[in-house]
Amino acid sequence: MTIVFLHQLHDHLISLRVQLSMIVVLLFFVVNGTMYSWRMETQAQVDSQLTADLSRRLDGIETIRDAVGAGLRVANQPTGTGFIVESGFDRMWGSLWFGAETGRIPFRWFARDVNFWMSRFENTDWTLIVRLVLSFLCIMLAYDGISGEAQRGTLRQVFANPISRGRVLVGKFAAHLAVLLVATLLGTVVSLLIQTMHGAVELNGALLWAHLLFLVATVVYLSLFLFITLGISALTRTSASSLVLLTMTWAVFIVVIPQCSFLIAMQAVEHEEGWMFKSYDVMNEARETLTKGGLALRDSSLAGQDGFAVERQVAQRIEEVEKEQMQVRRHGFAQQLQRYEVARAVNLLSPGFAFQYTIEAMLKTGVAKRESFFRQALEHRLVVREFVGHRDAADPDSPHVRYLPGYMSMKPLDGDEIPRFQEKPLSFAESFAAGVMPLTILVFEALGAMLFALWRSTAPTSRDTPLPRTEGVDGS
Amino acid sequence: MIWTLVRKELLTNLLTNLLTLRLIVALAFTVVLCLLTTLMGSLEFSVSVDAYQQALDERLEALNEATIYPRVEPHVLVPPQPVQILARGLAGGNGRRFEVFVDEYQEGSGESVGSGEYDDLMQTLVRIDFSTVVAILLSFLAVVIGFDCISGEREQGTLRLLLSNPVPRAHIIAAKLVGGMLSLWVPLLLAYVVALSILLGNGDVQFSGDDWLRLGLMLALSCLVLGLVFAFSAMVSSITHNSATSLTVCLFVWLIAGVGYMNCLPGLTRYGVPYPPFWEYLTKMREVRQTQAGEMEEWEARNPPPGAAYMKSYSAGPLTRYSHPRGNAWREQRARFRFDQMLEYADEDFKYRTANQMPLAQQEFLVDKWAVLSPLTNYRSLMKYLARSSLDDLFFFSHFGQRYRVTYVDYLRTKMSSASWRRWFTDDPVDQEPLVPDPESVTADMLADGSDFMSSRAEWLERQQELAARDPARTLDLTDLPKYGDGWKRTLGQSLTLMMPGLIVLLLSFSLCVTITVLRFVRYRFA
Repeated sequence: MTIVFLHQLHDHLISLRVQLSMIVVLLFFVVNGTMYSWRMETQAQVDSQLTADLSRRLDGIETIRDAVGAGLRVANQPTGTGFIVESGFDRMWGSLWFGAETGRIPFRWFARDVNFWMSRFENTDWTLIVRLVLSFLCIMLAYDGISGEAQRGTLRQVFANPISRGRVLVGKFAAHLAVLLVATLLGTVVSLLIQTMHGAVELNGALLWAHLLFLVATVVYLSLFLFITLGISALTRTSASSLVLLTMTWAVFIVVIPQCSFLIAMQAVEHEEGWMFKSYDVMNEARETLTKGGLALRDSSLAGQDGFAVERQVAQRIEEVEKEQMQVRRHGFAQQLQRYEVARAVNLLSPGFAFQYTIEAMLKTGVAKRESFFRQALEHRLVVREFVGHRDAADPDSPHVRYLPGYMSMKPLDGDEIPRFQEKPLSFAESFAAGVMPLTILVFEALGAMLFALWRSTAPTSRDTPLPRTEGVDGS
Repeated sequence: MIWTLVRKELLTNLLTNLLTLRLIVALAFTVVLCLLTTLMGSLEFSVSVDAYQQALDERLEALNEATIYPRVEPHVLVPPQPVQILARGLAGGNGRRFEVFVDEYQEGSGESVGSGEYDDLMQTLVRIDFSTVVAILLSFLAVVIGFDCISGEREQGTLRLLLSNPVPRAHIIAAKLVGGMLSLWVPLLLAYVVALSILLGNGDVQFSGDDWLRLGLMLALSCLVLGLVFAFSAMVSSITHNSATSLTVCLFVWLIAGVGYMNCLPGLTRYGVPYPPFWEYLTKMREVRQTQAGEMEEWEARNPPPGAAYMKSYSAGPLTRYSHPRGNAWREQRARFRFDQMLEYADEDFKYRTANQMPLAQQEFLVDKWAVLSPLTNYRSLMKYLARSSLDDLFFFSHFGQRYRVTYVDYLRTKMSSASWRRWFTDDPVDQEPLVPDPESVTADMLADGSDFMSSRAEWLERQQELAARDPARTLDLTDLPKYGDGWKRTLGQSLTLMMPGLIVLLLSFSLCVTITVLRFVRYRFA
């Protein structure tokens, strides 16, 4: 087995293919490092603006009343491992607006760093490089692993040795994997180096852990491709057929299926486009009905005469409508998620995305992070409300009409006292829940591929008789 | 003789090789994928058409119901373009809308009317179309057919046999190239016909004459790019010593120029072009708004309103009704002043916004510009130009919208005789009895909310509102509202001018590959 391994490794190191592969992989990681160095500069700029904007808003707050009426913003914190797996973070909710005022539940969202004038593209993160490029290189390196030797006639020599066929396969597999892993390792280190030099990343334990998890998943993913490639190579008569079959399968599973998921999900889940506006309409209508019914908010001095009876009624009604509004939104979000889940399920047909989603779950990002951020934003609003309500309760002069800005305490309040939003990262268990399915699929696919390759390479085939044809390519 | 050779190439490629696994697999995948992507694109197109129709109905209803000019807000609304199903680009087969406001216009504004536009999750997914299938799958097929067209025959020894025929070498290589390309174009044509027949099966898809020309050019362009990839592989095959090296070189070039460049280029331009922060623009505009509010206050201080009783009216948004003629006269003065202010604001806003956002557009323009470096990305961006789904076409559309806005503002100016000016804030007939008919005789107490006087007027108001709802004289006469013609999309000539650099690069590299292949083959000596 070691002999086969060393032999294959030697063959590799002198071949044009491997040298080119190394260069290609490095090239991609250099692009990745450069792109994310630039990206981090933009990101830092955007983040400092977000912080400055929030500080400006908080500075503007002088009284408890101001705090109720202020529009605040919470930001979805980047994971810091975006260059490993981006998972659409730039397009998803970057920040949400909210306020303590009744009827000001968070929803107006801004994508963190998106350019809607650009056609949709995938950022060149590590996951993309492995998913697209390295999987293709698996095929390039191993497509003639067995058929090539059969065509050249050297396979008979190999089999004449007292080594079991399974061991031959494993030896070959290990040599290919070693080459690709070295390339990946080299590439990731180069990418990290470029980014460290730019000051875009800071090397620390968490990053090393993420790097390790990434490499482990990469090994599983690449094994899947290598085993399939070797298996197919044993199945087909000529290397050329093996190559065409493999690359076409690759194109379909790695490129085409993931690109079709959008269209399939759009067709599969009936989705109401206007739900966001509808949720605003609910509130507008309610306010209109209140005004029509004579329940208009009055001037403070006038309202004080009957103990703010009308205002209290209005506040209560709006509070109820707020719940209704939230119901509409929850429904909308649920539909949105459902549609995305369909797209995800389609994507899982592709081993590439089983790999992608596994990494997303391991590095605690992706749609799970978006959901958790939204939950936390809602909770944070309650915290702010409670804080303001508490302060208001302490003031005996306040009308205590919660939470209408015009009818709350006028006592001074420093904006910095308002609790700040601190996003808690997903717990590993929470995040991992989203990754169980993809990981299982990935592992089972890899095991299946291994069994397939073992079965094909140990089964007696026509290759044991000398091949009459020498058509096609040989791999030298 | 040359045709005999072409026939031989075709027969070997299509019949002998077709029976081999490689071409059957490739062909089947290609056709099935074209079928699938077009089918889904066509289904989605129907959704877009529905969305467009709905938006159109809403706009028409709004126009019909408009009783004052601020409520008119004519939108330039254009239907989804079926050609874009084949090359989605930025428009993605959705309709587009340019909202015409007096106080706002912007560069590249052309909100998409379609599905999934507000869904941040779906935005993270990449979508496929015909041009991707050609650029990734069929180009791969071209590599597979081309990589051993010379070195393969040499290795099998048939090349010697072929050259021993009394045929000029130039003919042989010409036949090889033509035969190889024809065997690529046949699956392409098949896929294209399948795609088109699916589209034609959808009742929502209607191609105009111009569209048919564009579809024809799309096919020609696809043929050209596949021809180029084939010629490149043949060139590599004529240069290298054996098929294996040739294949390795071709596939690596394909990997880098196709998948690699396609994915890396947008990322690099996206973050390589720095852009000024949006906040700067927002701060600037806040300042402008404050200045204007100050000017407005100043104006109101100079021209004080005639007193509460004259101003008492029913109001809903910009609409006021049943106001006293003196109140109306004041409002008219104010609206005149405000109109010019809004135009000024729009210009300022445009200036700052454009300065702030052009770098963002620059990022996409750079992608299209640098796309020429790889034939596959070049092909995709040329397809976008043909389908009018590029950012450049969006800007073309938004410039059209801006010109229409100027026309509309001019139209509003022609309506500025004093009889029409009142239509800026009220749809009352000139002799309408006001809410407070004799302001001189009322006191502040009577005007307060909930007073007996106001309650009695409220009953009167309700009756009047009912009458107003049935009064056709109140709706605006918009028969002379300027129409927008067909100028919102580029003509074929304009599109072709835009495509010129990319096309020239494609053609030049094609002829270069062919020339090198032919020269290498003609001068080839057996060892």
